[in-house]
Amino acid sequence: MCRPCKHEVRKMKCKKAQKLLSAFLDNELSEEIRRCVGEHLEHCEQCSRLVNEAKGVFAWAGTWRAREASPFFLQRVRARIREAERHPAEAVPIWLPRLRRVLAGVAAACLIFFGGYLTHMGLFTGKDMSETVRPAEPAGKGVAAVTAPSSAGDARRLVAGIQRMKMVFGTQLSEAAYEQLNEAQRSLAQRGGPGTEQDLAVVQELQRAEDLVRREDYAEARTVLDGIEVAYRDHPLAPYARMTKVFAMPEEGSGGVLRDLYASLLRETVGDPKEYYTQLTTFPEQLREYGWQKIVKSAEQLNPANVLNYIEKRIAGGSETLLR
Amino acid sequence: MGNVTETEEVSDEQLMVSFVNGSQEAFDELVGRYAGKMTNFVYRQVAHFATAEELAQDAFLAVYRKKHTFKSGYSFSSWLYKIAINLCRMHFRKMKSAPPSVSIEQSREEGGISLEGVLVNGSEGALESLSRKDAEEKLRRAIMELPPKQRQVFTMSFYDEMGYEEIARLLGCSPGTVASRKHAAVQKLASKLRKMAPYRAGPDSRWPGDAGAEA
Repeated sequence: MCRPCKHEVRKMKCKKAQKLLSAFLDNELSEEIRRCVGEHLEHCEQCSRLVNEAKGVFAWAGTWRAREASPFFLQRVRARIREAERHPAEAVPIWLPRLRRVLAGVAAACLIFFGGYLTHMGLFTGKDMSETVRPAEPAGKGVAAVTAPSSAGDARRLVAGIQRMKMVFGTQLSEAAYEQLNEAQRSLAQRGGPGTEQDLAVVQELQRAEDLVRREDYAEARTVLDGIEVAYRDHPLAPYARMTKVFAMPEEGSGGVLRDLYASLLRETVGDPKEYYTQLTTFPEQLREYGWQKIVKSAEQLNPANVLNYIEKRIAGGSETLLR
Repeated sequence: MGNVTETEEVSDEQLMVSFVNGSQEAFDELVGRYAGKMTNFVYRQVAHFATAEELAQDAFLAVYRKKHTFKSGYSFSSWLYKIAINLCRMHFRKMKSAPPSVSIEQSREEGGISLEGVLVNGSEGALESLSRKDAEEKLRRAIMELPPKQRQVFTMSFYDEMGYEEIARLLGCSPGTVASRKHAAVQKLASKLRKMAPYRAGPDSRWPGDAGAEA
């Protein structure tokens, strides 16, 4: 007989029991709830059948045998290490060549800004790269040619590329990416021409705005960013300027709160990507205090890109508020 | 001092400390311990073994290059899995698709395959080798067709034998979310299994967490 328990699971409905079945089979339930689910199963043919189905799934899943790693696995890892140490600018992650092909020259300008932004916000792990920008040198091999974007499609790919770059948060890939950014910047500085000058001007203005945000001079940062939007309205980097305004919102009101929360998170986790992801667990609770249910929902999935994507969409859509 | 002797008695975290202090042997030992686990973990996410090996190697490259960011007191295994999860995410974004295309050989579509041998007797010996290959290929396809988040939770729970708390920590979600994703994945796989063959689960069918079950 089922002893009384505080969850009254003598009356546990099938709907509730079924939701707990996987956890029951995985032994992830508390003792009390586990006992009550078990007692439900004693009397419920339907749920018992579902348990058997789940066991069938596990039996089926067990047919997928693990495979042996290659006997040359360690040698290949060593080879990658040697390559990375010999050619840090070329030892790029598998996604970067594809990104380079898609984004071309103006994308490189975008990456320069983004890399600098991430550096100052402390998202690059390892040494602080912010003081190591080298003076212009002859461009190295493999630097993408600089061309102005020619279509809305290019701009969209550019923005998509920025979003993919955001997924680099906290990984060691940022050092290689930073080298690519420096190479691209040197190439930009070398070339002349109206298109390139505009790209460089936008990048420099964005860097200026980013410096102001880091120094918490938010009003001045907003002024610079507004100027970019006006002067370079059709430039592919204009959406990115709008996104950056998230971090330069007025101190008053909820926009400032979001900025402070996120900036605080970044400062606390400088150089520690693991801690960054761990600290992000508190984000939903803090956001919930301010009633930001939609952002909370994204943040609860604890994918930083989800949070940023939501913000970006709101900004790109012209919304001045993130509260709805 | 970085030499590691009697490595079987040395924990992963101790090996990392030795590696940070300059021991290449410690790094090699860690690679040896986790090469198979990492490769199979990634393989279950990306469904292509060669790609999985590359990504697993990338994970160890990341360990090598970011060794100084490893904090003592943290689990090396969790750190490594986290790196691998991030690499898989970036791979999917690069591929711009989910689930990724499956490179397994096409299994025979005509007719069904009999899983009764496994499911009734719980014994793989009951399967002919060809049926088992079919079962494995259909299984891989079914798992790859799961939504990525459900696939991750299911494979980490079942194959990597992680608890919900650990999975939640690695994926950055709550244990409750892990539970519901696991449940949804099992339901979807059960649905595919029902379509493939009639079955009965026998008493010897394997399931985790069974010891001392009151049910």
